[in-house]
Amino acid sequence: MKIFFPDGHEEEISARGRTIEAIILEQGLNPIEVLISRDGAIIPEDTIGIDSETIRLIRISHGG
Amino acid sequence: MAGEVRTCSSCAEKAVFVDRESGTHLCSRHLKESVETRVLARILQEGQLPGIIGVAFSGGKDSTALLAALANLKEKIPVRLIALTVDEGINGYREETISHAREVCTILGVEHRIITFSEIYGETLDEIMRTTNRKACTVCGILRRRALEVLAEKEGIRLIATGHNQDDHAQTTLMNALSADIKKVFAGSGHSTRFAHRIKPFAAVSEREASLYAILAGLFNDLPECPYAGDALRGEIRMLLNQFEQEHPGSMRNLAQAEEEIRTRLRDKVEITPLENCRICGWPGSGEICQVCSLIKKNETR
Repeated sequence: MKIFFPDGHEEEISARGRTIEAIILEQGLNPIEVLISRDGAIIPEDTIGIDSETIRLIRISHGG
Repeated sequence: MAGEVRTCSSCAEKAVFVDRESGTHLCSRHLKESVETRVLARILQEGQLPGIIGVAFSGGKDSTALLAALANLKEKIPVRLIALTVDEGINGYREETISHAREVCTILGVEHRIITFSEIYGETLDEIMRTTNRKACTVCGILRRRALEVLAEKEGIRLIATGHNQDDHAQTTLMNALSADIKKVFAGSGHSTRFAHRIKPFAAVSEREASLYAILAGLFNDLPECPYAGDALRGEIRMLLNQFEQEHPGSMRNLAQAEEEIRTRLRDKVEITPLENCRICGWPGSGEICQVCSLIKKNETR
């Protein structure tokens, strides 16, 4: 699946039947600190990721 | 291939949120209802409400969500809302957030008042920071709090709602515990009839829910971060608690509730220093000279 990260970079990651939460965690991000948008709609992080889809992570928790 | 769809635990609509502790899923409508129910409960705790509620409105996601929630609750809370924005004068940052704040107020049909640091203190925050060694967040916090009071007084506002959320409360609880200064729990509790009373309607709403509420209301804007943001301890605590919440859902809420519990239990045991009227400006504060005048005066003598 294609993921657009909050810092602007994008990555193609194999979902392997995992939840988006697990995929985000693997990328070193805390799922608590982002919301997930798929086709312009927000979805919960326990949604199972699918390789053909694209998601965008929206950062909600800033540092400092 | 269509993506997997989680459905709301209360209806057949698509879920936008999962409560990680209970596993309950909520759709857009039920998430909004859930947030508004908690906001309403907090406000009704106040009893008799004044005719106007001022909303401290920076234009950021939390205050945007709060303003939207209060605007949506106007039938249940029939008061006049006035959004209060303080323009600190932070070049390259505030222009965009103020513009967003104006736009949100227009969309929500809420009256909007703006006050600037230059009007009150004769200098912007950028200018003040060139001549002080103090932390920007400390300086800004002291001056912004007064600016909000000045604006509220000008508008005849006696009740100010702020966008502090559950996560903010949890962070403050832990920061206070680490400093081992019990009196900090009562910071800002000194009584004065001149100060507007403050309420935190999002105290039981997580940062995640507040952000989602702003997005669902079509009012979220990924605004730039304040260039002065850098309260190192709060940043570390935030990261630590977010990690804890990820691994142990419910921790953030429990810690936020602990703050209230501590305050309730210690209310009669901690002596709160009465406020005095500042010799220079006449505003209430701790000591003969208030923090604002101390800060401005030190700046002038440099």
